[in-house]
Amino acid sequence: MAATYTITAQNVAFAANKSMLSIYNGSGSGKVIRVYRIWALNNQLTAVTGVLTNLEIRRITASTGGTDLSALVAKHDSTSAALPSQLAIATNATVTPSVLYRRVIWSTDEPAANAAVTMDELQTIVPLACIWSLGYADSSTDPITLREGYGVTVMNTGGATGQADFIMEFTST
Amino acid sequence: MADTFLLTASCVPMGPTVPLSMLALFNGSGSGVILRVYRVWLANSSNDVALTGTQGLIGLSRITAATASNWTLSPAKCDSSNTSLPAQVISGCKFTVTTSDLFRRLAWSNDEPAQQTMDIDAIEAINGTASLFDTSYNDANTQPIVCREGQGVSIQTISAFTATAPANAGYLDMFIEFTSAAT
Repeated sequence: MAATYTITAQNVAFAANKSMLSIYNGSGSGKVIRVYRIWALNNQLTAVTGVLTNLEIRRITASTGGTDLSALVAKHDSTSAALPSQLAIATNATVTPSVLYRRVIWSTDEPAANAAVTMDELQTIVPLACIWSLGYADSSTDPITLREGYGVTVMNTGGATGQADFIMEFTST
Repeated sequence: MADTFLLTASCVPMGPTVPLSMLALFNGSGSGVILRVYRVWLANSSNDVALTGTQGLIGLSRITAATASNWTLSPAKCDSSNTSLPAQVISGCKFTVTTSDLFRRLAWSNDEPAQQTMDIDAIEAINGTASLFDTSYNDANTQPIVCREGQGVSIQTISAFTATAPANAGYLDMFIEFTSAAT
């Protein structure tokens, strides 16, 4: 099995046309990154007036800036190699999006305890919050494969209230 | 297949102390084994008294140190002929731990589920939606959480869980499925 990593971007504020979490495999890394699963989790506790927005999973062909999240990458095995410096993992990066892989509607409103179930609460359930899993537990299909010069982003296209956590699970070979 | 164990903790009270290790599994130095955590489950088990719960955060983290409390638990062998875990492998509730990497976190309601009521509390009690972590289970391409000597995992409360009435802050059932092997 390949060296596996998890990145959790916590409390990412929604803004229009914002790259909520991106991984970009820059030139010279010498690695192929395979993104197996992506989650969007409604982990906010502060009351907001939420809106419906769209989250898009897209391939990207460039990424600059943003808030570097490299220090938050969790190795599944501590003996796995460190990720190359050419791998840019960030929130709010300036990305060049290309092909669309998946689009989902998302509520930016906060979940509530002891309340009738709405989208907001269902978005806190880990199995239900997985918005991408092609290639996971299936040897016949490819995960999102990032060769040098390619990346992936979860892009918020609309609403600008509330926040969420975004998680990507990937391998590096 | 590797020797497989199930660590189960039932009705562990939540509370205002933050952070709190609700359930920890730690592979101490000298064990001679590697633990691999395949699946972790949470379930809302607040079923004894009605309370007015709150929303908080729970996480699954790697730990690099653990000191046992007086609430230790022995993982169950899935096969009675499995080699027993070495004494250096400790597990239980309310341990004192040192966390490092975060693998998952989620918002959680500590309010009690009730029959004939559909709310998030009830969904949290359903086994099918109670999965917190499952990387590498049924997938040969990815790794589970590998706990070498001096490493482990902990289910932690990240924010305080309180209740307005009565004073208890609800309960969790937790399950950790893992293997033990020499390599």
